[in-house]
Amino acid sequence: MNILRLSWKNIISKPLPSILSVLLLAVGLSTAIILKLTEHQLTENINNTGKDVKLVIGAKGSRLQLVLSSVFQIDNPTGNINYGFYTLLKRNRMIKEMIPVSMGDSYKRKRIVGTNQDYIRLFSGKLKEGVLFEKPLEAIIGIAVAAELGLKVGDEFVGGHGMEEVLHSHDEYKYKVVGVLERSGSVLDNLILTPVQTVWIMHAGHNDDSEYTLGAGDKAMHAPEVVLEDSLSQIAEEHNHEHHHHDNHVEVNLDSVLANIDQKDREITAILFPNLSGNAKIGVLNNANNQPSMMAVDPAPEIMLLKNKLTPFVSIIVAISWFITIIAMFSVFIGLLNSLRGRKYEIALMRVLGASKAKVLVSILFEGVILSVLGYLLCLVLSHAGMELIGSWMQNEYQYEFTGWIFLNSELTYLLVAIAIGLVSALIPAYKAYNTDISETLSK
Amino acid sequence: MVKINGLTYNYSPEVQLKFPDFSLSKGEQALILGQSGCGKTTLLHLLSGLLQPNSGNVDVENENITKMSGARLDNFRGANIGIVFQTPHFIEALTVKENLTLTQTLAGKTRDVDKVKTLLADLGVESKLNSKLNALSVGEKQRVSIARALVNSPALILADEPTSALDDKNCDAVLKLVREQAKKYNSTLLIVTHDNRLKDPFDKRIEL
Repeated sequence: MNILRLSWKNIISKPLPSILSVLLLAVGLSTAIILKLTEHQLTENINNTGKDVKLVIGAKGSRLQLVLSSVFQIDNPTGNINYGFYTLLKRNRMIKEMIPVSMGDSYKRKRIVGTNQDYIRLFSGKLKEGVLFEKPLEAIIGIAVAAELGLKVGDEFVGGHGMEEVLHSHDEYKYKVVGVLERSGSVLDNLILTPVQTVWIMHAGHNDDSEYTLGAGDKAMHAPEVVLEDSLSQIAEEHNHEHHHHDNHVEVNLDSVLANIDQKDREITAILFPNLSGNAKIGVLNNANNQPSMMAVDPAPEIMLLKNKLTPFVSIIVAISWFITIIAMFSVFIGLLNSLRGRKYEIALMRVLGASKAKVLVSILFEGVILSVLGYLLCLVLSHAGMELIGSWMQNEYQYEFTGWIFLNSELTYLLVAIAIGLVSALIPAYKAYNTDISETLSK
Repeated sequence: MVKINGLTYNYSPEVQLKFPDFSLSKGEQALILGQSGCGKTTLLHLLSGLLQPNSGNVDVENENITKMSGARLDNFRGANIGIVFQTPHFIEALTVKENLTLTQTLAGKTRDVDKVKTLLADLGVESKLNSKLNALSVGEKQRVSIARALVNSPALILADEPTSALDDKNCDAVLKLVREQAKKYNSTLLIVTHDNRLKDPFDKRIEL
């Protein structure tokens, strides 16, 4: 029977106050750790997803909204722009890479993004199974989509219009899964990717303005026609390309459907520019901003702005977590004080039995530390299980998988914080025990 | 073995206690008699170093404990003096066995469960080894507290009114046990009491 064991026995002999202290401490620390975990993963996501996009062009509207919707796949799009502008820029030799993205459809709350293969390269996506899409209606799915919806290569599904709630389903055509991507820790994990032409085909015949609204309350703007001969020839070229796969009757139909889609109805949501800098960037910026219905946005300052906007909320959560932790500290303090009041005679007894004042002091400090370490251990369980739970519903909201099963080094510093809390709250009770007048206590 | 001389203790400038000199040799058993308020418990606390006298000396095992202080005194007391209190108190969070092994380790001795079992058996409470203290009767508690006073085979056992909380039957039994056990471990026994039921012959009777 050593002092540490004695402290432990004293704690478990009064389970209810001990449980209250441990629980409060755990909840306080968990809040702080969940915040850290979220912040860490959010930053990682922003870095993985956002770092390579140097410029975004989309319909005029909120700049932040354009970045969030077309880069991070979080918000609703600001509207649409004409594909003609994309083909116009294609001619510019200073632009090495540009990626069209077209949003508005979804399947079981997973966003369908019409794009090209460069989009996958942008986020360093690698195929886990199958092949890259070549033709309209072919789809490549992220790992989380495959896991959650149980889709695999060869499966077919019917997409719907709308991102949150499907307003109507495009049941004339079915998507076919041709590939599944490996986990990339980026936005790719949660998306269904398909060629931009798929989106046009899906929407052929539904192309009045109200129908093409992409999200609740968000009126899409029709881009004015950017009439260009080049864009026509570009489309013609792609049209010819389609003819190489002529062995399937569906494709025959697709070709004619595609050919019948008016040039003004060929729209995309935004264009992403990786590796764009210097004069090329300025050129594109000016070009886009001169268009009456378009804007070009540099994502980096927008992301910075967003981070700054989030700072007050983060501070509030941090303050709440400290508040709970301080209450927990008082709980440990009052709990120990209460328990010691009933144990005054026991403290005197320990001294009679040969325990020095220091030993008595240490035994009470141990009680505080044991409670706080228990609180820390429980907090690890709570915070990671809690993060996993929160992550599962944040995933739909942010198109990014948040997990509870990562551990940060900074979590270890919380052990020190917990021990410090235990020591501080046990200090006064321990000092009281240290100064117990044995003779007087025993005479009572 | 135990020797006091010129021992005084001042509660306040008005209330001064002066104790008669006496000495006990090893294994001797003595009774200190006196009415309540005459300083019996104070003497016991002075003998065990829980109180410091205003003057005089207390020698236990040829060591003057009035010259000791701090951890050294606590340690000396734990190892050499066993105390039986009027009302038995224990660490309530622990079992009988744990209370007794804690007594061993706090005194700096090694944990010896066999000794604990032997003592409890001698005192007729071996079945309570793993019981919590609050499950014991007063008589049983007093037996366990005698076991605790003896568990480190101390040179000196001090008993403060060990029988006053007990009925006649338990009084006789407990007194007999504490005397037997003290003899068995060759400990000097000093019982402080005002209990008139303690009529057995003692080696020494000291009146306060």
